[in-house]
Amino acid sequence: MKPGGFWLNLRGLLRPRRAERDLQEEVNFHLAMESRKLQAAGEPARGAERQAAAAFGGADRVLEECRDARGLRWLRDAGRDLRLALRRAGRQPGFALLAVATLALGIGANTALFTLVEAVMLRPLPVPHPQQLVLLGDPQFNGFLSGTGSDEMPALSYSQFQMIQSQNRSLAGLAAFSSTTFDTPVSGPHGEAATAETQMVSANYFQLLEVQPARGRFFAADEATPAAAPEAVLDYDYWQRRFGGDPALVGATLRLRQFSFTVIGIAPRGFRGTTLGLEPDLYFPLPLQPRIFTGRNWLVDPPGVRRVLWLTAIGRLRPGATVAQAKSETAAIYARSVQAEAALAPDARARAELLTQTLPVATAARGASAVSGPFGKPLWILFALVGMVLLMVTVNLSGMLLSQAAAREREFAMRLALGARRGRLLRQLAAESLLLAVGGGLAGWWLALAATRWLVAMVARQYGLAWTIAPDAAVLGFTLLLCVLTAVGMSLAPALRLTRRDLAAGARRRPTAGRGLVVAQVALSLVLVSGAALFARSLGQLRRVPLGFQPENLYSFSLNPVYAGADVPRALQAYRDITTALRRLPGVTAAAASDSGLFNNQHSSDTITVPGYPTPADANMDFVGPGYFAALDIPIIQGREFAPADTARGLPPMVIDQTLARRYFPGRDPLGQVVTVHFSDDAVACEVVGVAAPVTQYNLRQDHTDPQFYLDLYHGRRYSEVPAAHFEVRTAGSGTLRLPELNAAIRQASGLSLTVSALDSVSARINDTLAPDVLLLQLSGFFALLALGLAALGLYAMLGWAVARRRGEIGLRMALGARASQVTGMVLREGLWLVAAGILLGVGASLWLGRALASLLFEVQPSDPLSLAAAAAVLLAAGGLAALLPALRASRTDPARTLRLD
Amino acid sequence: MADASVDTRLGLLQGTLDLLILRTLLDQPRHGWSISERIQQQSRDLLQVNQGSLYPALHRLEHQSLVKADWGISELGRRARFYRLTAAGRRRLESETVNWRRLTAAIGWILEGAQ
Repeated sequence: MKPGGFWLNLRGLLRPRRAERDLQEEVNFHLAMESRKLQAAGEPARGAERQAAAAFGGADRVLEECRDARGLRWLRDAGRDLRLALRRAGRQPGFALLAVATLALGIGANTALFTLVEAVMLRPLPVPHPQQLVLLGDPQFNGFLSGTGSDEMPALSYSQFQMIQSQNRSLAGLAAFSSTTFDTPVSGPHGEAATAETQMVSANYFQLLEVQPARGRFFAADEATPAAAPEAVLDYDYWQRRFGGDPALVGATLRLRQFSFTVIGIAPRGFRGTTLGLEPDLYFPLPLQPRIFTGRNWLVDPPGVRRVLWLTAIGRLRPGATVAQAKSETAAIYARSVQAEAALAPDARARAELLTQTLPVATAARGASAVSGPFGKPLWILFALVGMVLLMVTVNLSGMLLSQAAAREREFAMRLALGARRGRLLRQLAAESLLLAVGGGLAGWWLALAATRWLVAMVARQYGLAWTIAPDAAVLGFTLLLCVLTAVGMSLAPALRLTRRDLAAGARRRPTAGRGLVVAQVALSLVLVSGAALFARSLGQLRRVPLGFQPENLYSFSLNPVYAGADVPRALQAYRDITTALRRLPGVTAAAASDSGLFNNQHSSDTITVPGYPTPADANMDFVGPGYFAALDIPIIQGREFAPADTARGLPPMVIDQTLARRYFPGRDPLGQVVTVHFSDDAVACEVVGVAAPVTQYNLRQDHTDPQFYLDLYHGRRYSEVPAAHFEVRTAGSGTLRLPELNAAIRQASGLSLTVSALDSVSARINDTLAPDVLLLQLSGFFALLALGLAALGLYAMLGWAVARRRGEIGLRMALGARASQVTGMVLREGLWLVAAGILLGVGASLWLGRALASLLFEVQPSDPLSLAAAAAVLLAAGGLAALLPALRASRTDPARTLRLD
Repeated sequence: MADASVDTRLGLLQGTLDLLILRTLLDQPRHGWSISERIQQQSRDLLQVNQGSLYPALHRLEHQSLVKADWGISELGRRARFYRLTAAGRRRLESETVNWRRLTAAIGWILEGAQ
């Protein structure tokens, strides 16, 4: 449309009254001029006016024609199309309902997934100029760890951060935040306590991000000293939720465990920190760390290689500086810090390992993310999956509309013959499709809101995050786009058919387009069904992973005596006393302590030197207390497990698993051998006292061929800081552990004010680790069923229509002696050929697309023939059933009647 | 010969009215009444524009971006809608004029031949 026309249209639409007034005024002016002319010629005033009006003709009709000329007509036409479409939908409520329901599922699922994809992968931080931000550290890291290890390090120590902050030139500023948030008890102004997520940030954090406080102020530079009075900034939502948005809270005093702090400001609304998935309630300056975790000081590097990496740094590029510059400069500074560290390493091997350490640096317009790491890949897979579902729905409805179009050919042919323009008919078709799509879109939007909330809650629970998201304008735009695309997609085939010039001839032709659509539907559903089958097989394999211990009636919890102010010997004594007390609890048959625990995704690996092997080897390592193997029912194949008396012996004892024994002591007796463990700050020679059966204890996907060894929790090494511990408790029969009794027993036995955390049944915890796999299976299974149903329905509708159309021919055949079974066979064959073609196409597509699933599958190949065969069989069965009904109907054709009808 | 009235409702002459309107706007912007007067004058009172057809035609031309309308003050000091040619309107006028000359010439030859 020309710009003039478009804007006139728009003006007419947006301001109809103004356009109308203008038109009236223009006509009035004309009449006045005409009457004046007549008066000048000698007419009396009254007569002149009447004559002018008469010459003009009916003013209303003229106004109407002017409106038409302005192109407002299409608006009225659209209204008429919509009314017609509604009437048609009302005449076929079943079809309309099916269409809206399937579209709602398709569009809703896509909207929900796009909401997640947009929030997780695309949305920038809500701060000015996010594209200038760079992140130092792994954006997906969520935790803290010791500074040993090699290659890329995910986080920084406090001293490393300070070093880079003071020495770099390419960044206008560098701030840091703790890589994770911490659960802390916070008491309100009236003393009531509740846990809150706490994050520690450098004093310049908010200033660097260029955000403005909603109230109060942010940290000043002098808050960077440990001596300053404790101050905190509150998250906006936390302030609203916990304190009702009380303005008097700014300046108020709150308590966190032992210390009081002043609230100095509220972060702006919509700012949820710089890590997606971690939503801090409180921000404290970094120097407060030792007061938040008494007993640990992460601000000073202890002697030896004992740095704690707990900070992620975020910087703003100087104008004109590039990420590459920031990267190379940071790398140089970081290398200096690592060299200083390596000088303290106990031996050459540890030194060489330290020197390989590097720090990732990348642009950070979207900030860090605790979500995209574990959840990113499945998210894309699910997004692709629901995209396929919507395609399937569109193709299915296109086929349905095509069958309907065949029934309406007479109507349209007549309207064309009567002079209706093709464009007009197409518009009506488009209106019908759009009505269905918008209906589906509205229902889908509502569905998506619920689905998103459910998915996010599920992910947040799985990964222990406080994470909420809501769809924004981009998502709404995406949904509208989907509505339009599906409307166009589903009306394309019928539109082409209905407006062909030779409509009358077309009525006799075979429905090739309809067949194509059926084949496409079968192919798409095969891809979805085989995908679901792969996830089912993968989950089955995970469930079959041998654990090597009995998870039934086994409970696990953890304790951290650091919070109770214990030092190393006090903590170890407490663990002994607690283990003894646990064994005495009613219903408890066994109990033991260990370092890594079961299925915590906590996993440590160390290097060992085995006699007879020149090169050191890596193996998984756990510290466990006496009675651990008995409590878990792990068979001891040779020798013995740890005993309380081991503490008094010379060399620390070691238990190795069968894998390690077979690999490093083939044909030798491992008992009595001395193996050296190389810790980052120490090397310890241990004596092998036992061989245990292999165990899966970290997660089900761990590599079972990895060797593993155990050291005595109480006699393994000299601890430089208090070790946290997990306890494994086995109960008799249906006995369960109750938290209050457990806490009481532990406090009494240890004399420390300890609190149990993460009390779980081990079976439940193992099941929890399968939650993402179960979710993938449930979602893909649901969509596969939907696709299967749609494909069957599509085939059924297409064949039913073809049979109805060929009634005459079938009647003739039967009159000429064809048996009912032959007719049934004919229709059935036609249907099965289409299904077979679809299956072939679908298998090809599955093989090609399946590769993307590889990393999500466990011990199943994406090209798994069993899954593909199962999917093909399911489709063949569903297709056969769908074809049988019209085939039987065809065989019941009464030749006499149909021949008479024609 | 009686006064001929140009009626846009006859499809054949619709283009003719558009052509006449565009031509009257060539020298200066005019409001609707002035256009109808001008056509009457220039045709020596032979053509009288059906005023009920004039305004739809003007709005159609405006919708096609051949003319542009602005509110101005008329010679009587009253607000009136003035139409002026756009560049596209000027080009259309030229091409339509050529067409018209060809058409009348062709019809002329036929009529003369028939005599």
